[in-house]
Amino acid sequence: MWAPDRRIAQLRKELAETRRQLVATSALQEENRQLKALLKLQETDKAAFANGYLLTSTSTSSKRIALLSIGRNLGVSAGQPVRGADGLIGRVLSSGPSVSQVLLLTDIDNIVPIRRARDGLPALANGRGNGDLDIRTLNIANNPFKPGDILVTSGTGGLYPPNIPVAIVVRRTADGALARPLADPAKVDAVAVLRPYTPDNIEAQAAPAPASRP
Amino acid sequence: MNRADTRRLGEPASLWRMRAVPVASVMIASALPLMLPMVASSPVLPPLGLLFFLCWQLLRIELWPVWIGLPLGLWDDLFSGAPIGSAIALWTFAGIAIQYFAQRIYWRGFLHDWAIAALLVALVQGFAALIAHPDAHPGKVLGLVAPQIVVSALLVPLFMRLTGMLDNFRLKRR
Repeated sequence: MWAPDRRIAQLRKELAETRRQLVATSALQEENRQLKALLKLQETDKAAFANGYLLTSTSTSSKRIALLSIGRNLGVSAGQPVRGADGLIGRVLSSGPSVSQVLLLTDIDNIVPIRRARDGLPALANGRGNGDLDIRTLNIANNPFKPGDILVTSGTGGLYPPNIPVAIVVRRTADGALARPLADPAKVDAVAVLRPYTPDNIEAQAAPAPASRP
Repeated sequence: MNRADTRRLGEPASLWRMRAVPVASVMIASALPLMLPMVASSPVLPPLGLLFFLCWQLLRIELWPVWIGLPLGLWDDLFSGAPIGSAIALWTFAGIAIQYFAQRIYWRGFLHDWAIAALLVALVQGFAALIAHPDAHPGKVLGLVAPQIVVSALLVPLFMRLTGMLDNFRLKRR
């Protein structure tokens, strides 16, 4: 074999190897981004007290319940909000000794009080069961939503802490809007469990006051 | 003399295997979807346990007593996420319906079995969704499970075949 041929064969092999590494690295990069974002949240937001992984979920019934890899051993109990790095995932439905069930944001029975990030317009997000959310505004008179509106939790009702990103509006519907969750539970692995947004927890956190709401 | 020599050629399969294989296949199929490392955003998988449950009863009506829907339905409820009791009730009704069809239609063919299984899957999954979400709009809830019902109905022949293979294994003589 000629020397240039050998060189070409060697370079081809190196290229294939590098491609494989690149693919492996891109998956790691995404995981790294999520973990870093979660870590940063941990530093700034004192509401999170435990981190875990979403393991699996129901896939044959109309209920959207996921299993979380931590349970009572780390203080997880029913009613605590769960968030990923990109946004809200859902809330804890019940907790066992070492795993717990999470009712996902997209379940039909999960209703989240939200507001539009831009101007604080209050609304309710209701899962559709197929991965999308129904957004209904509280005043019936007009339909103010536009595609691209970012929706965050409002803190109303005392379960979800305010200002967690929830969804982005995809299109308007007859009585509100259709939105897509910002944190896709299928893509998110690492999640944080938060304390419920109740008065005693808010005082205990001694976190900066939530942004002023109109 | 070792133990294998005491069994005779052509001896029927052990009673244990004849009874355990159908129950085990339904239980494994019920539990399998939750064992997959996947977070689904809609009901993407067909109800595997229910399909095996219906196919076994269509293939061998005399295999199980009518109350078999209670334990197997309870097992499925533990894994499906539906409220405990919904599959217990609906699977029992499905079993009774198959008994009724077996009395009405004497010589059932493959198409009869397919139609019965598709109808029962649609009814069980539809009612299960309505029971799980009593406050939601019924049309939306049924629209959510409609694709799953269509896929399940199309998969019935495959599950009939799988059940037949398991049945052959169950009854295999030496």
